[in-house]
Amino acid sequence: MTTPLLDVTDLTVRLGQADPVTILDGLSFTLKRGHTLGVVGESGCGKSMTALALLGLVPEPHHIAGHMRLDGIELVGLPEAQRRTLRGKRIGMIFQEPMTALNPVVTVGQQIAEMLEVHEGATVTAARRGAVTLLEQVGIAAAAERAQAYPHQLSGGMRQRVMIAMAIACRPDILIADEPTTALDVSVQAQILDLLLELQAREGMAMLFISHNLGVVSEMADEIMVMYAGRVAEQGPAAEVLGWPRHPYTRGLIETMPDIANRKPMLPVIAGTVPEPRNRGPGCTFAPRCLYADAACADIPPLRGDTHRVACVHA
Amino acid sequence: MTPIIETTGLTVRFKVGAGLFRPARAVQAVSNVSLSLMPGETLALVGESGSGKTTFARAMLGLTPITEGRVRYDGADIAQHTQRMRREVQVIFQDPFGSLDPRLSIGAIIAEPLRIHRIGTGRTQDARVAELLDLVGLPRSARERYPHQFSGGQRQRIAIARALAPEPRVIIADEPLSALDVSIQSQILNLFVELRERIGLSYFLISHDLAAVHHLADRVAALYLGRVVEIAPRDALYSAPAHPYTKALLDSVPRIGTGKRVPGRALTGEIPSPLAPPSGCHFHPRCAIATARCSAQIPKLRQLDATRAVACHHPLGEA
Repeated sequence: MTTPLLDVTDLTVRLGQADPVTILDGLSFTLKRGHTLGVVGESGCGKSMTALALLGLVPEPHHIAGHMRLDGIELVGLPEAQRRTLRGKRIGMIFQEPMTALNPVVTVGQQIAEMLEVHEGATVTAARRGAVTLLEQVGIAAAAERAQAYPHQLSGGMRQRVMIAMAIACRPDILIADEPTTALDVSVQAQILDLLLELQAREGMAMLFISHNLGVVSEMADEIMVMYAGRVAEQGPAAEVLGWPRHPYTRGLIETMPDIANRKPMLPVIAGTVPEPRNRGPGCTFAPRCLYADAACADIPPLRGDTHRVACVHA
Repeated sequence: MTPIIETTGLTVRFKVGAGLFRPARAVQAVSNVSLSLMPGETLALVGESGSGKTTFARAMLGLTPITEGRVRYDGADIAQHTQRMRREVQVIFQDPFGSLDPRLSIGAIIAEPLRIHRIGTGRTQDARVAELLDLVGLPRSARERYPHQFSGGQRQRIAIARALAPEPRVIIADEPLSALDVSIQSQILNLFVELRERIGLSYFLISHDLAAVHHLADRVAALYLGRVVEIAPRDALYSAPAHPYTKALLDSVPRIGTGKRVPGRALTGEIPSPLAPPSGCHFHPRCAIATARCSAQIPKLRQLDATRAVACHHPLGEA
């Protein structure tokens, strides 16, 4: 068996010093080269914190335990100087709102060129040429001209393409995409999803694809990890997790979405909301919202199974 | 049956870009839109950002000046019904964080339309607020609290309670779900359905979420760069869209369980700027089946049958 590109074991993230609060609690997952892991769950389940932990961008003060191994390199406890070289070079990232992630007073060409200068040691002219090539690769027409534009002069879809160009500039091993299409129209969303798949096929990069939209994740992921309140609820091959969901939370997430192929007069709902990190009770954190909860849910359910794993005693 | 709201040839033009040595240019945001909303009906307006959905709704409400065309409310020109319409047509916005005054208690927020429209006395207003909180599924204790103490979904319920306060006949909902989590979206969709059944409301729903529109709407109109390109009953439109734009939008909806996507089916390009709209059919530069005629001649909205109309020279499903 080949070793995975990324191997995360028992990752726990606590924030704060005097009275720390646990945000991620014993997260384990792997990511293979060229594969896409889709991460789903409601807001507040720890999806974005997982991305920040991989990038080494968890806000201070914090305490991180467990392991995150990228191609054999232990990321937990790695000095910031080394983290900085990995970030951007081996792990690229794109976010939901490119307008806040891009510098508004620098042309997009310069912003991409800077990546090449800092990480690849490219000369100013080479970096400038490289930026134009990258803009072409992400499907921007008249790239040389667009390189001179400032972010506000571009549409939302164009800005997201620029973000992708920056993220892939150093041909990273892993691309982390955190809700990359949430702010876009469905038509432009489809274009960006296509672009990501094409780039992945060409460059062979692995992707951590975070979204609350199960439809989008279904179309992008090879594997899926469903997170609830900082823990893994269910994980496995995408077709299995979506086709035969075993955790009541996963089932709830799927059933709650209106389905054009199967319209129901009333939608099933998941009652209640995700508990705040400080209000997570003992035992299964989903129990207060779960129809199947009983005395057996008083202990934290272990993640059981081989390739399709689920953390529910009733699954 | 008389439509509650009916627009005829509604057109909105803005003047933009006037400078010291530069004449203003006219932008046509809404072009010749005729739509009617029947009592108890849910009509949805779909299209990409920049298609003119919100401008159309604002013009219909009299919040944006109309350049041409007219709006009738209950069979008469809106000018004769301004007061009634302000009470009977209420709006719910996308952002439940921006649309509630943070300094007012929930009770005061919900009672505000009652005070503005001088409906009832202090005592009956209090009773009405309690009734509304029950209706939208919030605890009565919420009235003493403030917006920041509530989650996004709860705030949207507060916004809905406020909209329902003056007993409206029509709710205009502009992207009411897009700021909410999926699990909350289904709760709010159910609330819309429940309210329609209990109060007999009509909805004018503006959304780019085609799955949510399918769940709620009776009829759907697709707008592209200010023009209606197709209007049809929900099932007809979703099962056999006649306009290539409507079909492209439907094909773009991500679906669960169909496996990994195969690239190459996405609609190309982006919606053009209304400052420089393409000639003929506005959609022709992005259309896979466009012909020379499409760039030369604006297609008229024509009836395909009694309930469906399409503005396309080569409608799908027509030999």
